[in-house]
Amino acid sequence: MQVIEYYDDKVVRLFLLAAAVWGIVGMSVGVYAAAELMWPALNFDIPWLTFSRIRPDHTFGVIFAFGGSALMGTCYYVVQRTGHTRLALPRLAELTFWGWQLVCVLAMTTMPLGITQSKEYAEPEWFVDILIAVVWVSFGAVFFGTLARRRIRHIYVANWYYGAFIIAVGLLHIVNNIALPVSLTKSYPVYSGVVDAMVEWWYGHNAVAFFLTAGFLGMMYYFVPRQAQQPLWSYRFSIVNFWALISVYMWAGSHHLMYTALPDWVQSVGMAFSLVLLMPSWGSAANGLFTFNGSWARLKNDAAAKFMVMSLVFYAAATFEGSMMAIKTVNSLSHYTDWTIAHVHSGSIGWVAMITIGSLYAMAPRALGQPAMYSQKAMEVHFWLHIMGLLMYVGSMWTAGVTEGVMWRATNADGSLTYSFLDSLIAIRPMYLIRWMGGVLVVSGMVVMAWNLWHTAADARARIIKPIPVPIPEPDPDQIPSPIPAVS
Amino acid sequence: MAYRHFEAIEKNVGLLGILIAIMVSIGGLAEITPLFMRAHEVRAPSGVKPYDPLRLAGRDVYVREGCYLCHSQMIRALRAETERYGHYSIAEESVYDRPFQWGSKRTGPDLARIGGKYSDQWHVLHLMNPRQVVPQSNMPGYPWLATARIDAQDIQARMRGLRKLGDPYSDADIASVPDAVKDKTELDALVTYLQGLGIRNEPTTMPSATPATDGGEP
Amino acid sequence: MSDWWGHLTGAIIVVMMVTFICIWAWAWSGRHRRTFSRMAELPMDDMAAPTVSTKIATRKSGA
Repeated sequence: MQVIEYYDDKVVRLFLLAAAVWGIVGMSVGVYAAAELMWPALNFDIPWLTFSRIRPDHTFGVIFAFGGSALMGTCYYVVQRTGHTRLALPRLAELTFWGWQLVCVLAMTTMPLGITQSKEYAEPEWFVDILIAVVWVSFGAVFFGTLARRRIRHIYVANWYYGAFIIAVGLLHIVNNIALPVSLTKSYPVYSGVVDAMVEWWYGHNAVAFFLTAGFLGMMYYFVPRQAQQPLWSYRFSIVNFWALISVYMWAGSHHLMYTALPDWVQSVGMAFSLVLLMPSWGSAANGLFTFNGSWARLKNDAAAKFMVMSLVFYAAATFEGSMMAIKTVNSLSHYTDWTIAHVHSGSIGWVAMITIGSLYAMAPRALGQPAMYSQKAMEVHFWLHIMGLLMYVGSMWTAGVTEGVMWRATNADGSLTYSFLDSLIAIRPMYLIRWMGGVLVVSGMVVMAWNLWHTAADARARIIKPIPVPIPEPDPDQIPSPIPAVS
Repeated sequence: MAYRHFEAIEKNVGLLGILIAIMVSIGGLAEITPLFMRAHEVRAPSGVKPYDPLRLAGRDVYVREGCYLCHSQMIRALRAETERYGHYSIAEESVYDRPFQWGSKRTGPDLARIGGKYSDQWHVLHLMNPRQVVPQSNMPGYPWLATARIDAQDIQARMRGLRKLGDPYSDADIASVPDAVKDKTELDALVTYLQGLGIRNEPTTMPSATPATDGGEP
Repeated sequence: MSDWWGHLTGAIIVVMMVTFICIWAWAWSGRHRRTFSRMAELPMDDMAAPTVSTKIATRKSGA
C-alpha cells in the first residue's frame, strides 16, 4: 500500500516570519539603548523609553523572541527531515507558535512598564513565566513526539542538541523563576542573597549554554553539512563533543561571580570547568569548519555558507575568550567592564546571529517552495553589513572594556587611585559612538534580509506552495520503539 | 555488550532524554546544594535587619527601574575595589535581598556602600536629572519618581509576602507601614534606600587579612 | 564546603571522566562506521531541490 505523507512546513514558515520580525525589533531596541548611553537625554524623561527599562527588552527580544523563534522553526524543520516523518501533534505545534508569540509580546510590553523581576535574562514577571513554561512543555511534546515516530532508526546528532536545549532550558527556567507573587505585577523570589545569585547565574550561564549554544549547535549540525553538500567531517567526534559539552557546561556558571561573596571553592570549581569547556566547544567548531573541506569554493558565491563559516570562526573565538575570562586574574580586570559586553556580542552577533541567518537562508527557499532566495546580491550585502557592524561593535567594546579595567585599578605611587570613575566614562565615550554605529549596520542588514525573505515568500503569501512529500524509507523490522505508521 | 547498551541511547528517545536530564543536573546540584544547606545554618548578623517599610519601597523602586543593569552592589575582594568603594561585600549583607542586586556591569559606579556619601539633596537632584550635578554623566533622569506616591497597602502586602518566605517581619512592623510611608514619594523612598546601602550592614571590624591583590597592585 | 560533599563531588567528576573515555572508545570502535556514515548523509536527503546549485543549473539549461 502506497502512503503519502507531507512535511509540515506551515509552522516552520510562521516561525521564519517571526524570526525576521523579532530580529529587527530586538536589535533596533538595542541600537536605541546604545544611543541612550551616548546621548542620555534620548529617554525624554519617559519611563518606558529609559535605558534601564528597555535593556531587558533588547536582551529578551534578541535571545528569546528572535533566537527562540528561529530555534523552534529550524527545530521543527530538522526533526522532520532527519527522521523522515512529519510532525507529531501538528495542532499543538501551531499552538506553540502562537503561544510563543504571545509570550514575547507580553514580556516585551510589560518589562518597559516596570513589571520585572530584575533578574538578568529572566526579567519577565511570574505570569509570563508560567506561560513560558506551558509553551515550552508543549514544544518538548511536539519535538519528542516527532522523534518517537521517526523512520530513521538512529537519532541524528542535531536532534540530540535540540533535545538537550529543550530539556535543560525547561529545567533552568522553572528552577530560577520560583517566586511568590504578592500582586499581579510583583513577586519575590524564594531565594535570597548569595543563593539567589548562584541560582541566577547557574541559570544565566546555562541559558547561554543551552539556549545560545546547544540549540544553535543543533542548527549548525544540520545546516552546515547541508549547505556544504558534504557529510559532517566526523560524526563520531560530534557524539563525544555532545556528552562532554552538556555535562561540563552546567558546572561553569559560578565564573560570573569571581571575587564576590560567593564561597571561594564554588568560584574555583567554576573556573576549572570553564577551562575544560574549551575542548568540546572547539571540537564542535572544528567539526563544522572541517565539513567545508573540499567545498571551500562554494564560499565565493554562497552567502549562506559565508555566514556559517564566519559564525563558526566567531564561535571558536568567543568560547576561547570566555574560557580566558573565567580565569580569576583575567576576570578581575574584565568583570563589570564593557569587555563583558564585547564578549557576549561576539558570541551573539558573531556566532548566534550568523549561524541563524545562514541557516535561515539555507532553509527559507526550501520551506517557501523556491529554488533559491529571491536575491543573491542582497544576501551578499547583508553579509558585509553584518560583518562590518560586528567588527565595529566588538572592536569598540573590547577597547572600552580594557580601558575601564585598567583605569579602575590604576594606582599612584602612594597607593591612592589614579582615576575617578567619571574619568573612565569620559575616556570610553567615543567607543560608545562606534558601538552604536556598528549596531546600526547590523540592523540594516536584518532589514535587507527581511526584504529578501518577503520576496522569496511570494508563493507562500499567495498560498500556492506544494507540500513536500516525506521520502519514506524501507521499514526497519526490529526498531524499538517501532515507527508509527504513516497517515495520509 | 556494553557497546550495545550505549547504542540503545542513540536509538531510544526516552532514554536519551533521561540521560540528558541527569547530565545537565549534576553540575548545578553540586554547586547549589551546599549553598542551600549553608543558607539555613547562617543567620543574619545582628547588624543586618530586614528592610523597614520605606527602604523596602525604595528597594522595589530600584528593582523596578532596573538600576542593576548599570550599577553593581558587590564590592569584590580586590585592592583597587576596596580602595574605591570600601570594605568588600560579604554574603551576610544580602540575606534579605530578594532578588539579589549584585549586578554584572558598571556603566556607573558600585553602590554597595553608597549610603551617607552624598546628601539627600544631592541624590534628589541627581535622580531628577543627573547632569545637574555631574555634567558628563550618561545616566538617564528619573523625574517621574517625584510625583508617584507610595501605596501603604501595597507595601503591607509585600511585607506579608516576604514574611511567608521567611523574613522576620512582626505584625507591629506591618502595622507601622501607613505611618512610615505617609506622604512619601517613590523618590523619597529610593533616596532612603540608597542612603542606607552599606550603612546598616557594613562589617564592623575590618579583617586584618589583606584582600586578594592581583587586581590592585600597580 | 563539608568534607563529605567534597569527596562526593570528586567521585562524581571521576565517574564523569571514566564515562567520557568510554564514550570516546565506543564512538571510535569500527563497528559503527557504516551507521555513522549513513547518519552523516542525512542532511543531504532533503536535496531534491538544492537551493543554490539548482538556480545555476536551470539557468544554464535555459540558456
